[in-house]
Amino acid sequence: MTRHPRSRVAANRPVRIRHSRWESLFLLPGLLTVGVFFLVPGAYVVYLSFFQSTIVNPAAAYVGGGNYRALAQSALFGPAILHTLALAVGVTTLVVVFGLLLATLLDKGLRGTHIYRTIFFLPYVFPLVVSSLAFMWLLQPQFGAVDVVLQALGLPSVSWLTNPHTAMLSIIIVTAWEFMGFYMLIFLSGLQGVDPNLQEAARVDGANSRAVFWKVTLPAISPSLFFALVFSVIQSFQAFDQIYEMTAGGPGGVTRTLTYYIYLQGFQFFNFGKAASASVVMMVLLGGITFAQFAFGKRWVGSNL
Amino acid sequence: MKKKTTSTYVLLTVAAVIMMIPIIWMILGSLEPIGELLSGRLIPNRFELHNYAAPFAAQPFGLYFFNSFFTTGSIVLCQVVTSAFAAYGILFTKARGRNVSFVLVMISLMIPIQAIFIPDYVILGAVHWINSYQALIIPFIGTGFGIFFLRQAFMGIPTALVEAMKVDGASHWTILTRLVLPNSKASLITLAILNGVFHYGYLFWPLLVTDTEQYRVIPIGLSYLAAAEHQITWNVIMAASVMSVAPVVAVFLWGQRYLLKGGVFSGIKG
Repeated sequence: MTRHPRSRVAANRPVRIRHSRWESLFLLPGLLTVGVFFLVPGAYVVYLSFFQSTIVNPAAAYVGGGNYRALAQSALFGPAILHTLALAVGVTTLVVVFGLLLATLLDKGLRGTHIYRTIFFLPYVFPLVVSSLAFMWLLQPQFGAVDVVLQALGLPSVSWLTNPHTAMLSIIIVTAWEFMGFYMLIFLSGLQGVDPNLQEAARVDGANSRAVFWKVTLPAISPSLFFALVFSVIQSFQAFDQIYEMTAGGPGGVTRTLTYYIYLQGFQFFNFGKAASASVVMMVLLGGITFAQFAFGKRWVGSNL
Repeated sequence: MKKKTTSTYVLLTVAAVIMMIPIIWMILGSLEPIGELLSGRLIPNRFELHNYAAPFAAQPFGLYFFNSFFTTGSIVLCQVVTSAFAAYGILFTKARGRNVSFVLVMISLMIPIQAIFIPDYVILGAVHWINSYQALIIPFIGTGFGIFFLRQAFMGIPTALVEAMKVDGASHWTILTRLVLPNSKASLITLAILNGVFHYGYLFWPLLVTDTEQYRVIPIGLSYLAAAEHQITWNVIMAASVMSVAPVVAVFLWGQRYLLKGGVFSGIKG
């Protein structure tokens, strides 16, 4: 930092263009990894989706749209999409409603707010396997806390994870418990960016606190809300760990989501072609959602992401 | 006004207790002898610490911890470095291909790992890396998310300042280490924590690319333990769970002042 070769400035200009090639080295390690493990596989999975696979050769025979036709006719693929949507709607509703409610309470800036914030965010750092095991123990029929309370109230015991009516609900609750704090922080950050003069002005004009929330605060944080909706749907589509640990897709396939379906096709049945075509369906769905967020988010809600 | 404050506290406390129930139940379970566990009492009469030794006797949990720390630490370190370099290159250099690079990063953000694990598996198989540390670490040493995240963070640094340093003859290395990185400390730590938490807890990927005890990480070890204990000795399973979660909770409690300061969340201000 002691050298000041100011005189080199003018001479630098043509040099800079020559520099540009070695400057690319900054980009190389990161971009190379992204290329090899994300972009090339993204293209390769599309390619594989047009082939029938064998265990030794993932692209053994070209079958055109055969894998996609097989998906459309499969008795398992459609339900897997529906289960994924159920998970996405359930989790997103819970994390948005409770995340927003808690963020609103924390935004009042009362003493001790940071302790509550820490508690609400804590589950986010839990490995999903740990969260799953904790809930499996909590919901354990007979000795789990939930059942102990149910029994004390004279209610019948519930086999939460092996009952087809409650298995997905259990997965939704674990997932929402895990991620709610993340969304709460997003909303809190959004709320803290709202100009308090806006809310004050509405109050002076005679709006009650409910009207202020719905008519002023909520529109003001709509970018956060939009981001949370999109991100939670994407996250739900990718859910795997908790399903693997808690229900393994069961009972009777009611928790078999799209990711789990791809996993089963690829790594249990070694049907790479069918798994690849299901992966393409997922990429198109999630790519579309993400693209919509970046492309239209700005226009719709003024997000500066 | 007073009444409103009280009701806020009541609501917050109720929510906090509900969120803590699984954690409290986990810790209680980890401290109970098997007899207490199967007594159907909510609050046990007797506690014991022996459950915390049992997982190590049943499985090489020491090795699992080492594998998890080693792979997670390597990923975090590499990813922060490659992302910082790439973000710097995109923003503050005239590097060839920097605009194309940013477009590629944005495209990669739209590709979920769950949709491309089959080609990744084929690639790793082709170089004979299945069941190795490389398979656990290398695919994540650079990610679109890391580059995008740090680019957003570095955008807060005035270009004029960077240009002024260049005029003064400062090298890229000097600008990066003296100006850009010190002014992005919160974002760098946020990226490291989010990444570390994610990879430490990640079951899906290690499940696919490893199949021997030698490379087993904590999430798989826990899953195996739960299966081996036939989901009966929940006290042992919960003790292993508490020990598994302790390191990430410690890191989070240390780093939360950076994490909550903004970082990921300030990019989406309302």
